[in-house]
Amino acid sequence: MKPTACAILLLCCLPLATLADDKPAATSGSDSGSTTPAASDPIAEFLKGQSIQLGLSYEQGTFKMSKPGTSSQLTDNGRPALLLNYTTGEHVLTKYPMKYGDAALSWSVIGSFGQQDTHYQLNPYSSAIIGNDLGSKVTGDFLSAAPFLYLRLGPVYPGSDSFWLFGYGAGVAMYHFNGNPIFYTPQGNGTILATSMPVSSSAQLFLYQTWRWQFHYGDWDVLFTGKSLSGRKVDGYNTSYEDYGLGVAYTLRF
Amino acid sequence: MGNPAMRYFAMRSMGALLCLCGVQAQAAPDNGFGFYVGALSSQDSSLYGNSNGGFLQADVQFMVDEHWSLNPYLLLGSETTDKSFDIETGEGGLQARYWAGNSVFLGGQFLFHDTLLKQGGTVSSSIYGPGIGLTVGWESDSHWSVSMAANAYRIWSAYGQPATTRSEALLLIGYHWY
Repeated sequence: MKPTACAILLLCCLPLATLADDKPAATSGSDSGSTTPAASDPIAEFLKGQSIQLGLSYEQGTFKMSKPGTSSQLTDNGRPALLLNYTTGEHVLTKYPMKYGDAALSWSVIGSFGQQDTHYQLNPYSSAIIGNDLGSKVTGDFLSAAPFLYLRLGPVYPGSDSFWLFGYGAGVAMYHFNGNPIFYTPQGNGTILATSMPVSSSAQLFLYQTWRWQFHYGDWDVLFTGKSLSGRKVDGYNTSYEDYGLGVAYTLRF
Repeated sequence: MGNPAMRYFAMRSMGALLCLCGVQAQAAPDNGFGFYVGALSSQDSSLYGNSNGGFLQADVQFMVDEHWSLNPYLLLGSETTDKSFDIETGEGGLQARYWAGNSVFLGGQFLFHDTLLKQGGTVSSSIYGPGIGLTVGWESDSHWSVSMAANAYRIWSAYGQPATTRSEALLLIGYHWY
């Protein structure tokens, strides 16, 4: 990705981060009549500030290009990958008191960096999700920013920095890639024509969607994450990249 | 009741009675982590027929109040089918439990699944989507539990067949750390 594009996107995130921090800390669920008294809502306090998650995940990414009559799909067959997320402070939309803490419907803005290294071709003769090494590959990377709406429950134990959340976010990603995928075109006589073709896209905006199942305890997170980049045609082909992963990350708060 | 043996017998009888109908003596459910092993049986109308297998499940229990809890969970399962392929299933869901007393619970869950069809060691298809289910269970004072669940979700075949509904029944034995 071009450094200028990265810088612009990061700068665009900063006002959102500041906006998210303007919200005062959420109040304790104990104020609303929960059964166990607590001096404050530690989770809301922990999530009030910005944070960076740094970790390692095992992910599978799949790159797709298609137009009527022809398509290509490449995957990385699963690989370890760097996990790097930036999260703004939390905005609590509504909350319901629980025995300890709250069930909160909240939102924040999440910025992520991702890399694509798909060099196993999915083809009519391969598994649906495990590709073959046919000499084709597409590599790239992206920087994304998305408002993220989530349900948060916690803490698990009173006073502990522990919570679970599940949420969905939709935003934009600056995404670029290049490579030489193989396109498959079914022919009228029942055969399939395979054509290798170079493709390239400079950094441009794609629709970015993400899903996340996350359990946080102390400074650590376990995350199941789905990411999807779509909504744009490149050289006349509908182009998308999907990535699903399981990771462990350390959270730095500031 | 001056006889020590009679007194001992009476105390033991009362203890046994409290154990039998002593819902009040049961420790209340609380926040904590749970781990389960189980067996499952599923049925599909056209894709594979019947399947049987086992699974592991983990959850985190958040008490809403003394009667309700929310339990996000993850499940990983493996099944053999009537056809030539096997199934590997992953589910992530959120279960709501109503605790009747301190030991019996009824609940429902909303889940997302990813179902992999494996043929000869190769994954031939990945099917994913939402599902719903019901559960009923009993948890002992020592935090061991037995429960049953039934889930249903739509699956779309990779072989060009129309979508069908998969229904599954699960038997779980678990332990909760409070």
